Amino acid sequence: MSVLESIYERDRLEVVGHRVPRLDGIEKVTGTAQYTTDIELPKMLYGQTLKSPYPHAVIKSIDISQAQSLPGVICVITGGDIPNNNRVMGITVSDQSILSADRVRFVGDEIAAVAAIDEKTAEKAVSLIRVEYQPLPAVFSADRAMTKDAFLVHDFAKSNVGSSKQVVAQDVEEGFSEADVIVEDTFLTSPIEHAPMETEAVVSSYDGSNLKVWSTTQVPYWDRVVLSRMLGIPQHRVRVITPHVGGGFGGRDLFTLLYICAALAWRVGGSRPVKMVRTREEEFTCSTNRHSMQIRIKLGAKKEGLLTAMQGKAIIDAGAFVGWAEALGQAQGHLFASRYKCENIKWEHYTVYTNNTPGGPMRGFGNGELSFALESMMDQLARELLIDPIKLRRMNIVKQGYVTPIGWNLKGCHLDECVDRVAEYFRAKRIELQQTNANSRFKRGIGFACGSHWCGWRPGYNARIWRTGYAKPEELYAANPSSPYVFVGENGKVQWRAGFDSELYDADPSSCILNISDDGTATVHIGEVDMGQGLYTTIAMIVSEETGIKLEDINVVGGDTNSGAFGIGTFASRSTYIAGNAALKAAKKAKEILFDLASDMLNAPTDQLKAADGKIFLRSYPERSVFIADVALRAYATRRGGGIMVSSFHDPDSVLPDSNGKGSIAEAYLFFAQGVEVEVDIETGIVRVLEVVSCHDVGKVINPIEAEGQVQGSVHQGIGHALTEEVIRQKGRIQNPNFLNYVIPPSVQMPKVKIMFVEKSETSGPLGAKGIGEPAMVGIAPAIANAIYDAVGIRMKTLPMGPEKVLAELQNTGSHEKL
Amino acid sequence: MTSNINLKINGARYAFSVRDDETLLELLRTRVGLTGVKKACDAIGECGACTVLVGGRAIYSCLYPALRADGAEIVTIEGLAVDGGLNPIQESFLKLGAIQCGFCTPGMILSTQALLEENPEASVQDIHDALSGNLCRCTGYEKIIEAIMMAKQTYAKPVSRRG
Ligand code: FES
Ligand code: FES
Repeated sequence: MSVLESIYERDRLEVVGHRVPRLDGIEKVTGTAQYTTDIELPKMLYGQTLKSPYPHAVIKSIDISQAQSLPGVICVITGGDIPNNNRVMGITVSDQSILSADRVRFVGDEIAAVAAIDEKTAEKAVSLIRVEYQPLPAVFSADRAMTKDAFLVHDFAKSNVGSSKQVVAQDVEEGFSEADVIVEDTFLTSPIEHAPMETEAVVSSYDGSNLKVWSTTQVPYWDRVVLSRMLGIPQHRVRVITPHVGGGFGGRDLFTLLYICAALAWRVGGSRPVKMVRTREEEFTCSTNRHSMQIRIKLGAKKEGLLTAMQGKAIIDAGAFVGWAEALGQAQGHLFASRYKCENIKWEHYTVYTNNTPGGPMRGFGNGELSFALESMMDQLARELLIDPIKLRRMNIVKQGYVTPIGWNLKGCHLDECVDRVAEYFRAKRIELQQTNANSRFKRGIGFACGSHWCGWRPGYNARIWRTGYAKPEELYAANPSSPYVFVGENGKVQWRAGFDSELYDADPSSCILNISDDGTATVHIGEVDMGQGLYTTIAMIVSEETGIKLEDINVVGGDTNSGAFGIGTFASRSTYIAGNAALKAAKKAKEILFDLASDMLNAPTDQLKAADGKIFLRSYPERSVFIADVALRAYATRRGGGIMVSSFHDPDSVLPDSNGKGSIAEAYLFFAQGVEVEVDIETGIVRVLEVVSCHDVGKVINPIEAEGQVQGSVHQGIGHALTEEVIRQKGRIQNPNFLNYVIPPSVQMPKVKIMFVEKSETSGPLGAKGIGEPAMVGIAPAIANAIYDAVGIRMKTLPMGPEKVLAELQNTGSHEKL
Repeated sequence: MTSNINLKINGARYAFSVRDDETLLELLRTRVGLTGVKKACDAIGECGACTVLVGGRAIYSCLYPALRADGAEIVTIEGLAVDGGLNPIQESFLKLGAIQCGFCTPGMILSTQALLEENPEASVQDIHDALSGNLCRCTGYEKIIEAIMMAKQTYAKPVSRRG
């Protein structure tokens, strides 16, 4: 690097890396931020749905006549009123309709919807709908559902196993035959609820040709596709807008209410808005919960500690519909094969239909459950081998440059540093604890977990389902013979039209449209949504860093499909990394235009210019400067100008899994190590988390405030998953759909969280960044379980690890002594 | 049954005729348009998002009959800013990043306001107690507690005390 370059380098990051308060913070602390729940419009109607009281029943008839004639009721719809009711919701299988028309499969399954002049009238109308049900046998556990004589949840499937797949590398049996020690056990996790503070809310209206939807969605463009298919309205006539959102955590990824409300508004017509807001109880019972799972893990290792074989099997209770469950099982296979170096891998996953509330993705997407099982087993293996659990992990973890057996190409990986830093943090404490525990009723212990996660994800949707809802042309033709996508060939066979032949949607894209106005302020459109994580501030910081436009002069507008900035959505810890890259690309283009004009004004070549703090100046002589506002004016007000309107598209260099499910599904990966100190009361079984240390390989941190916030919030949810949260169902009916009986840990139960970032710049990331949305939730449950073992010598295998379970396990073991 | 009541809300006077079963939450949100008052449970006192100040005390507006507020002075999040600037609690929440989605924020800030007005020396334990009825799903509470500790310093000094 030349002297001059190092001078340029000196003040490189003006904005990124600084603690910037979120740009929407003022609205939020003054109460002016408008959420979907707050929208009130003239001539607004209010919607409500009729839900199944049965876990499984045939709908013999639906009579809406009484409801329809109730004064104040404008519209009542059932499944038959929605043009494409059946084929629009599936991710890997089309098994779910918007409104169930002939059969209900869980308590809360929605059958009809009403729009009325006020909420009370809508509720009254719902109570007047008469449905004749014929109850069917129902099944509430995956184990039971998999037995041969179990009643089928879906007739089209030959069994309740919606899908069963494998991920295999090398030869696991041979791996086990080489092992000196083998450990094997089964772990169970409970369903939990996303519980964002704002419940699902939707407002929709239709003017005869344009459909408008405001909602709490995290995937507006995805919803636009579904709405377009559902109602047969082309995408340019469908507008999905996401105002401020009160949290999501994955729960707005299969958003039935959004589609129901839009269908109602479409039927009502006349630009009359319909508003629907879930009650908290409905949020638990009608929309998805995190899946419950059974995971069996078998590990083999040499006596020195090196893994020789890893085998795992997940049985996922999908509930009434597959939804994301099959993709989740596959994702777990990827995670299973990408944490420790081991060539012999076998992962099987079964997605099982039951008559429970449908499962849905939630922060971590199966990684929390997988890690609970795998990291507990690593601990167990360490005990069997008499090796320190950290040392065992350190010996086996993946390193930079490694290509995992499932195909992940770990170009930037600092898992080793994460593990070392967490170990170091607790080193003295671990020694101290060995002395203090002996005679106390309160036993303390320390546990660890580590792992990997993706940063974006290229799963490969079926492009034909994406566009039409159907995988086979005959089926589409049968449902809609006039569909433009199919035709009947000369041989009488139904075929896809020529050119519509791509098998998979092979992309993980985001885009950005950036306009700089003639006063030098910028409007940045992205497709993703700020669910509260601070994405818009992050994007503004990236644009500000690159263009020199001041932060307060940048307005980031996300989640409005009319902006045209396509983004596949906010999930998979992808937004900062992928949408951030799109924003950076756009910013670079805009900067080029600015510099081109400024070079005339400053009479200097563009490569000698730098932009910061609202000005463009000479790198070597910063006093010679022009205001960006004055440069921007030239772009619009002079013949030479041409405006400053640029766009960009970013698709990471990731690889679609092949037919064996292998491929580097992300371009960059996240790594973490977490450690936890707990105190177990052996009289009551109560586990208290005293301290958490959470270390993350995240690339360059764009905004430390928000990155820390993601870790703290994730740790909080991880503690909930580990210790207190459980959706309790009895015969498919949720027993605790409220915050009194569903316990989110209160502030007083939150331990101190020591946060560490390993900030090694990621070459493929925007200004070096990766992501941080999910991983801090992932290692908490296993770290707590391992800490409990460390404290009292019991191996907890079921989540949540409530006091009764801990006590029972203590009594089982018959010993309170620390091993 | 309806009754006539008079209220002062965020400094302005109002007269309403209210139903016996009308909650203060309903009145504030739908009739006064103060949507900064949130609702995150089924209006049964489990989330604290609906917290407002009645006579300086933090209450769940979802459980509070509007009728009972007759003659009272009510402050919602919209009325907390002073002279066009932020109140010290709002400011510290903003500065320290004690906000993510922001849905719990109005309730958190108002519960804090009631606490610090009454006890400017509040300990961390007092803060936990005061927030025990306010749920947050995003932040893990740590930054909220930090922000309150920071705001507390302003309240402790009588000179700069406001509100
Ligand atoms: S709305 Fe939940 S406590 Fe009032
Ligand atoms: S910031 Fe989202 S609930 Fe508190």
